[in-house]
Amino acid sequence: VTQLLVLAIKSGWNRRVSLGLTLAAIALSVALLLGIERLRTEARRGFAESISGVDLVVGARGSPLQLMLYAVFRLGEATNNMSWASAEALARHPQVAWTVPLSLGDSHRGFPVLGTTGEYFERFRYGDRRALKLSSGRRFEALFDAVLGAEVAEHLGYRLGHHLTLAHGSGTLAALEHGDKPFRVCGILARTGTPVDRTVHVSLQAIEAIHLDWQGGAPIPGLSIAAELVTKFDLTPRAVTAVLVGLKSRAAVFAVQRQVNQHPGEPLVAVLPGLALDELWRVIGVAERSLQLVSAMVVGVGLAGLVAVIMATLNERRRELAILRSVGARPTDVFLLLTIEGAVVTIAGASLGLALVNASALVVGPLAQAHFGLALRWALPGIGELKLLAAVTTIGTLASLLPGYRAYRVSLADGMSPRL
Amino acid sequence: MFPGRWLLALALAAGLPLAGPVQAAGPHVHGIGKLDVIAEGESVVLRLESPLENLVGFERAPRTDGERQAVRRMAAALRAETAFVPTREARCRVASVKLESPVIASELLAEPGTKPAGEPQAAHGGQPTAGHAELVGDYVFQCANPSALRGLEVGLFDSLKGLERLEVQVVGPRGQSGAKLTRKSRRISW
Repeated sequence: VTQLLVLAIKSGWNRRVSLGLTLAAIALSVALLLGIERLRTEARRGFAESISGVDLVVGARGSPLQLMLYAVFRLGEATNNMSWASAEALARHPQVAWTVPLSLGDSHRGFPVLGTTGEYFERFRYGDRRALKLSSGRRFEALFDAVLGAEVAEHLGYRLGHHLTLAHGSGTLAALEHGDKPFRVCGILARTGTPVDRTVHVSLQAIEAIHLDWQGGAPIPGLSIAAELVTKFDLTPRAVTAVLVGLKSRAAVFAVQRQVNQHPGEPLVAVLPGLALDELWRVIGVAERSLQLVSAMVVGVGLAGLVAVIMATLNERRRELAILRSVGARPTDVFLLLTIEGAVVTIAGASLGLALVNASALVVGPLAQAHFGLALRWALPGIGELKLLAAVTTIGTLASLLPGYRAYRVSLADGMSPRL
Repeated sequence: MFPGRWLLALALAAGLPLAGPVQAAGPHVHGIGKLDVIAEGESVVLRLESPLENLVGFERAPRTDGERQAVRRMAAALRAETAFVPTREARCRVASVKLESPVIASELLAEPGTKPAGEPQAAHGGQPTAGHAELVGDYVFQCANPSALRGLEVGLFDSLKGLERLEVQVVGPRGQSGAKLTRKSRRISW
């Protein structure tokens, strides 16, 4: 078999252009298949790891998924605010161990600004219940202190002590800057691989303070409250976007959820984050499966091309096969020779495809991270990818049996007795 | 690493609704029931909420003997051992079942041969909203071998023809998850 392998490779080398193109087709199709699989698993992991140890996410009544996407992942449409009174009532609930209010809406150069309390840094967990860590500096203490996520600091080149102003809303309207009340970077968080990295954290009071002289989403003309004076005002927040809730007993989650959903003061919704994610997978699953199906079909086309190329060359290779037979090769050897040829091309194509995915992850990865917050990393193939690779090589090898069988049938007699 | 807008865009492009009804507060949809599962330590606690329509075919106090029979049959089905079956290896036993509905007298829902404790409930006392009424079933299981507990099979679909789908929320040892159960897929795992 080793001899046949050497022979197959040497024979294949003579047809390197056609086989090389087929190889490229297979490599590209495999790269597509693996790339989609990797995007899929990375996106899922990213979602699942972004929140951990939170029993409920509470916000104004609306779509649970929208609330989760906006409050936790900073994606999608903004949700309505819930009143601070409700947030406080929730914090006082006997079953509630802790609450972390979140207030979103402002931004800094495209990065979302999150108003929260100091408890955020203690209670927020990501991945496998890992806590947030500061890579430098400290948590916000003064009113206009800001703690940056790792990505924000790196992308904007900010260090401790740097001054920044927040933009009202998404930051596209330059006029709506909270320019009179600059923040100072007091801490930078270690990288987490979650939306936290792209977030500027300030205190809830600071969010309230920068909007003191604002009304109806715009600065009140003629009124400006200097940054030094804001402490004279009541900075209790009036509303928040959502509240993360931790319960004393996980078993109470449905009871608390029911109570929140029937909260008498205002319409609220309590979302179980794990459930909302399951809901999201169900929604996205359809799109994912169609993408997978398409890429699988592309691989199918690639493999069909391989079989077609080998089959097509059989006729040209009658002489080669006849010579092999004349020097003692059995028909089974011919059969094996062609099958090996197909298998080698498939395996080489699959490996090349894997390399291609990793290479493109290296090149495109940082871009995807910056623009979509989606991490594509150079990584060893996961179980899903290995399964796909195994499937591709198996199908490719099985498909190569076809030209092998054809050559076996033909080479029994063909070419040995040249017809004149 | 955090999920991309592309996924969202995809979902939207595929015309898929992002609003899941799963956790909405108290929807009343005939054919659909809600099941909350808490698996913690040795106990499994279930709460089934379903429009009465799914279970007996009407949503008011039974008026005829036939309707009372239907209610008893429903109660028997809900109390049957096959209604909810946690992983068999976990050796779980029903510790208590409590069925309640604002429009049905508790005697009818009680286990046959037992007198329900407490004052007889006013059969017509509840406030069914817009002519709708629900039934709530609270189940507690105690398991001898909780480490083997991996899921739950719902047999209710056989006995209750009006029940088409169960929206399940699970809080298990490995976190929260959700599922939709139908006649064809009746098993949840966690």
